Amino acid sequence: MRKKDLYKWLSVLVVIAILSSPTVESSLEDRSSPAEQDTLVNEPAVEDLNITDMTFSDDEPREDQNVTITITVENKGTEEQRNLSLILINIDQIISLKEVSLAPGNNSFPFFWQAEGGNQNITALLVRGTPDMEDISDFRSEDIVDTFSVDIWVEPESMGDIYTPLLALGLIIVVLFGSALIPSIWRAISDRGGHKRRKF
Amino acid sequence: MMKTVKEDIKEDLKNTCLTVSFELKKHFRMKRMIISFGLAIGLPLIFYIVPRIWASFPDTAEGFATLNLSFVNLLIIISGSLFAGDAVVGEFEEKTGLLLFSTPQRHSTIFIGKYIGALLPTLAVVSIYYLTTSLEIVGIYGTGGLSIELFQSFIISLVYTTSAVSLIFFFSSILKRKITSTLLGFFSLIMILPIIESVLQFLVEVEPWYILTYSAGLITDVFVSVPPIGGGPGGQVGQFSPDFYMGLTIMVLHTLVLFFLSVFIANRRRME
Amino acid sequence: MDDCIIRTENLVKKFGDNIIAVDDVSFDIDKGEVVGYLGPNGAGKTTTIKILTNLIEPTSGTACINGIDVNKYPKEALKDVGSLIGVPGVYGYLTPQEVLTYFGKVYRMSQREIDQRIEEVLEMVNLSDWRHSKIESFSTGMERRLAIGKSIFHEPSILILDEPVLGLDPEGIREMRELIKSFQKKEVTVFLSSHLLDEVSKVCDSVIFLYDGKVVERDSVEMIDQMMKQFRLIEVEFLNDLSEDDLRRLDELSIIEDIEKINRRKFRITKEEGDPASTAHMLRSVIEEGYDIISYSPKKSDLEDFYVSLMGERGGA
Repeated sequence: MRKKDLYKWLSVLVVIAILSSPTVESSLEDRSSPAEQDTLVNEPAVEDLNITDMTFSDDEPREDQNVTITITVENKGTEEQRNLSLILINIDQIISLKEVSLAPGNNSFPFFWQAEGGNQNITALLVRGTPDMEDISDFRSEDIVDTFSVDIWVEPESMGDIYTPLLALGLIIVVLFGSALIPSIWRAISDRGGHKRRKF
Repeated sequence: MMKTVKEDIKEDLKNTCLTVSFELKKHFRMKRMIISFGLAIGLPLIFYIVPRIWASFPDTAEGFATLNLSFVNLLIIISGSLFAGDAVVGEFEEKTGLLLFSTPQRHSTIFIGKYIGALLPTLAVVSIYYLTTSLEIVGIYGTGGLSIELFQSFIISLVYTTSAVSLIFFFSSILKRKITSTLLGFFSLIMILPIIESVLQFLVEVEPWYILTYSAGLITDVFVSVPPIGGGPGGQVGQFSPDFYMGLTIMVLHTLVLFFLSVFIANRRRME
Repeated sequence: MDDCIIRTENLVKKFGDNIIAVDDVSFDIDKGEVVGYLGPNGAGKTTTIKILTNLIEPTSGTACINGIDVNKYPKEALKDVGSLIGVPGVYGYLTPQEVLTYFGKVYRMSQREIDQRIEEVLEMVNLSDWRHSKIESFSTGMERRLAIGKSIFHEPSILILDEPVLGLDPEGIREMRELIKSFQKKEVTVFLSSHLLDEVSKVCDSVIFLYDGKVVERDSVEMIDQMMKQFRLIEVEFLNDLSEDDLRRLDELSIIEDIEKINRRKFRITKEEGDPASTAHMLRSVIEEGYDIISYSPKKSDLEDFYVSLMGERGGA
């Protein structure tokens, strides 16, 4: 092989190596348009990192109760993984986001959640980096390393109270029956006033 | 010769009571009570007999109650129309007012008595409906199936009944024919207001908190552990739900405003 | 305290801007009087009666019963008043027993009084056999009789009746007349409107004539009869047919007020003056004009003639 050809192939290899490096790849991705992002090949989830469990401090919470949700993530590798985030989502609302580092083995992370009434779906997402986002529509699926979902029923608070409807009904009854007294009282007031009486 | 205020009040109350009993007798004779009470017992029985024979009951008592009570609104509208639809207008159209209004009674006393005479049987019909449903719940789920929410729903139904009767009575006081006022009262509650409600919810996407029939959703919404199954007869689940306190306030306001307006307008009508 | 039981003062009722149904009507009715209220259709009779019974409010003026303003204090004013206005409906799904019981309680009768009175009143109006039958099965006449029964049920001292014999057969009319006469004996004050002048003249002490909302005449029936006795009306039959020219010449005589044609030879002539001398004077005048008379009969006029002539003067029918 001639020297010229060698240098040519070496330079190609260097370019490939540079392009393959994570920092370059992500900065290239940052500069690309959303449409282009969608066409990028998704990087597969790191197989050594898995969310293995999600537990609740109370398995039958009531509405507005403060619940601690503990997410367990296993790092099957031998090295600490950094630059990761754990995001907790309720259906389509972000509950919380934490930047995490995963040491080899099991890692537990607590999250605090004020329970909303009814059927809830809590999903934990392990993602690369620290996404700068305000809602779930900012996610890019290629950033997701792993997910874990749990459905939970939260007993809603009773609607209203019993006293208000009773009071409302009582008020209506008093006013309706009391209205029969109004003409007499009106007449008495008018007679005392002595001014021109309106007929009732 | 002129009475004291106390004597005047006593007489007015007595006249009101006389009118109420006369109206109740009229409703009984015209078989309205039989029809309404029959519906109040028969409708819930359908929800008991059909599952027993062909299907199965809902898992929870609250689920059963929600299903059963989704039709109490319809019963309120039917009964209210029967009892209040011709309360005022009938006296003018049939010219029975020529006998009635020339008696030594204040006209307002007569109209208040007519209103109460329409309201009481409608409230009784709703009570019978809930009693029947409660007995069914006890029969299927035991006494543990009776919840505070059921009682809550009952009271809300009674409040809604007063507002529905007020609306129908209002039509009776302003219109000239019995059939028109009865039908307008009926269709306002079963169709016109629910349509306006749906348009506001789904097309304009604003909460129709001031519409009376929207507040009626509270009757079954109080069963919070059961997802809402409908906004009323033929209705669909809306994207909004009535606020508990606002809904009750709207009902009370409708009742009182329409009642006073009806009596005022009826009092100014004359047998011309 | 005067004996005036029913009084209207400057009573006015307007419907809209253009229709004045009652125009400044004032009259008094004393205790025990039976007063007829007469006028053509649309004169304002029923409107006046409706004001007196609190069915409508006057535009201005007052209507008092026993010195109490009816529209301001209806409970006090109407407690001793029985009324029958127009053609009222009756509650078809109820029985006479139930209807009369209700109204008896409204008039604060005791249950014992009610039970006793129901029997008496239904007997009076010939409905005893229908006491427990639904009113919807009644004929129009029966409904009318029941309405009359309701008006007298609480034995009022004042009766206000609007066309009381409407819908009644001749027997019913006779019975109604007897009923009113019986009230006269009990010193019940009766105020009634009617088109049947014959009936009014037979039962009433005095008559108020109403035309176009205004009172045009009030007099006792006796006085009206007296006036009629003054031979203003004379029936004349001529020997020959009278032509238009003949009639015109006759009409020009100052003593003659009006000529009504019966046929080409027979005429009813109203003379200006009411005294007997003018009757003779008219005969002379007609003969002097060259008319040949074969019959000359002064007629005793009655209330109907008076009514017609009064309305004729006013341009009504």
